[in-house]
Amino acid sequence: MSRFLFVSLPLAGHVNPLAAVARELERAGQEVAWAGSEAFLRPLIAPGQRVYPIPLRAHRGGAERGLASTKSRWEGYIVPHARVTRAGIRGAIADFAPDVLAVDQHAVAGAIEAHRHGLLWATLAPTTMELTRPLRTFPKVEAWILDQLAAMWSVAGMPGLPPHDLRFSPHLVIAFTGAALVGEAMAQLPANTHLVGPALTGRPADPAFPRHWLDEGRRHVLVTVGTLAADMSGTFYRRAGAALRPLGDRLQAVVVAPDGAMPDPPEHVLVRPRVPVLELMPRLDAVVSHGGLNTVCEALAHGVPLVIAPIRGDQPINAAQVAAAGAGIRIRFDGARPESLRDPLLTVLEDPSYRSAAARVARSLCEAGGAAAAARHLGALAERGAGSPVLAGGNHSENE
Amino acid sequence: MTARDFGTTAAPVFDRDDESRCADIAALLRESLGEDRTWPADLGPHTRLDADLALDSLETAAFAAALRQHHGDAADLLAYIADLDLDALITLTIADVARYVADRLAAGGDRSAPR
Repeated sequence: MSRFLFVSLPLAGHVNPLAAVARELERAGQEVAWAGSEAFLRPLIAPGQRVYPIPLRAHRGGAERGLASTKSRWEGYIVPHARVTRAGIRGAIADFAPDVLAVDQHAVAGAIEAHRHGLLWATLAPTTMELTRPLRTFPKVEAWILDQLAAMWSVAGMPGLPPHDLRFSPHLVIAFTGAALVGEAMAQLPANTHLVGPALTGRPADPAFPRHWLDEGRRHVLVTVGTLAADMSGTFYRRAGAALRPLGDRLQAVVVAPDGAMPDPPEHVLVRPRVPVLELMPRLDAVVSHGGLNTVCEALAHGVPLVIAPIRGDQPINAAQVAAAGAGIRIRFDGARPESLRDPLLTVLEDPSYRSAAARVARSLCEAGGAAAAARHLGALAERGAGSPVLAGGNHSENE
Repeated sequence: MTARDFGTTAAPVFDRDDESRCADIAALLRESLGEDRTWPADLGPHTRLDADLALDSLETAAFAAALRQHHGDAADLLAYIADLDLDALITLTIADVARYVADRLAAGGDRSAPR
């Protein structure tokens, strides 16, 4: 039996796949603990798992788009998160004595503390934002990110420069996507990367969802664009409402949105702040999404094609990958007319090629093994470590 | 109207003043993204490609291809932005693109321009 310490970010889309992996590790007889915000983690992780609490505010996405959001993500979130979590992670390591750290790709303090203690560690990538180094076409931007990592390393009291790009563990990289999506960009992945597909297990049920509302005589569409700044989402929901309004004869839509976000929804549109997405998936004919990796892979794992309106981060990458695989259509989030959403939605529903391409991707994603495969790779890493007494480079003290 | 139709009606863009040049670049951008005139209503010289329009890499590539088609291979937007740093990329405006295209054409790039 080995001990695995999970270091994540207070973002549901980041914690959910890691929580599924932690459950699989426990099922396999391994010991699991978390370092992070207890209030945030508790509802998402398996009951009884130990949490070393680090008080953190939940991250609300800002209003920035494009590279402006890249800059604010690093300066406003990733760097401060590393600074405030470092001590808590060290405390957890001291008490739990983990064999392996399982570190979210953006929880850089986990990577730094693994180096300081000479521990084995794995990068877990719940987004494709860094995975294929999409910014490498802008050498100065990629250099800026490496500068941020070097500064975080120095501020933590580590000597010299980081020995490698801290976004990628030299021991193991696990990403929750599949070869059928990544396509040609597979060549950009480090050799120790395992693509395991979506981690779908163990989401809590939602008994309050009105299942009887779904009418078997019509097609079913899920509309979900994640947590957005209010001015951005307001425009989108109004446009989605206008796009869906004349389609009541052929479909019903479930829209994930705060109460009142879509004013006066027609009878065939159900607006709810929380929706049991995984439970609905087998009954859906299409998903309209911003292209977050979790939603994309969950839909495709069920063979459901998508219309994707990407906003920022890895979403444009995911949208392009889905379009390249033939399993969906990418549209502009800012499109002005209802038709720019309605027409592609009808195309995805009526042209069977999208459904069959989604089924092809589904086979590839399901063969990738999901959370259980990720747990096996982590277990193998721990066993490898048990055979090699000491890792080089450990035990630097922190001087602050 | 196709992108090609637009190019013939708008050329030559590089003899006009800045504002008109920017309007042509903005129209080309709108065409290359397949958006109509209502998107966005206030596309102007100071509109930022990244922060305001959130052009992603595919859209930027489509825009760059449209620029090359209309102004020749010298108007290589992708080569231009590959050398910019993060802040310059975030603040890149339609006016910056118009100025870059005009500079490249003035430097003799018009030899390779079609038509």
